[in-house]
Amino acid sequence: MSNTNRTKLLLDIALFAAFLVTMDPRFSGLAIHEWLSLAAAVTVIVHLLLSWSWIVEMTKRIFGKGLNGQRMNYVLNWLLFIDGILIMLSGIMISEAALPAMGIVLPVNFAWRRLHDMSANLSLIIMGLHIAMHWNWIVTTFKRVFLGGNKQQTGVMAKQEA
Amino acid sequence: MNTLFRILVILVVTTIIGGLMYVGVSASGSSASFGDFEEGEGRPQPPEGFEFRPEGEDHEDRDGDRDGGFGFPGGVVKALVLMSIAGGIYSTVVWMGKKTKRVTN
Repeated sequence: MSNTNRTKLLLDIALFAAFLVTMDPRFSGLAIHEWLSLAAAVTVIVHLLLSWSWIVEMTKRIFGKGLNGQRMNYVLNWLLFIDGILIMLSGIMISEAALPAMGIVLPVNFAWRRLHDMSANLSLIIMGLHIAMHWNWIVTTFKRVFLGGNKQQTGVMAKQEA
Repeated sequence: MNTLFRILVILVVTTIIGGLMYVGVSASGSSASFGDFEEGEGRPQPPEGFEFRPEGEDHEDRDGDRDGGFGFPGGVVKALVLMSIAGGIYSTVVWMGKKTKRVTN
């Protein structure tokens, strides 16, 4: 297994854990919710960089033939990306801990609050689909990294999924 | 150098999409906007009847949950359930599609 796949899996697990924690600000507290979200946004950039070759390849071939599953995956990833931007932007606009701590106070606009809730709820559905589409890769890579699964089999499957 | 260029591309795309969203919301007539926060005036309140918390009235006030409680993580459970349902529906649809294809062949 390549180091990239291992790094991807560990990064994705960390991102998923952060995603879950940030989904419940009453559980974590507002400060953790905001700072963790900002850290997760940086991690998403690394996540994208690790999948860069796939993104470029799919962008070039998006209108090609015989890519139905991949095309759906590509469109879903864009939706997740756009929704993520909306969550971050609206979160920044209604920030009560992170931005004031940096000395930035933005004008209050209650539409951002509503957008933040809506986009967060939408992200749950898109994230569920995103995980389901990559389930085979997650399982095979997880087995390989943590359970020492069959090298040849998992290597081939991981390559197919990536 | 390659990585820096890629990061720049991601940031530019993010800025463009975020900028469009910001313009859209700012220009929207439905937004309830207030002026800058001024010290001593207290937190601006939403207009009367403006329901900006769609989850319902039983939720605690936002200021009240500032410190967190590490109690029962209801939001985490809700997130897991919703994601499982979405993923489950997708997997079922894919499985049924494969089954139908196999039967047809």
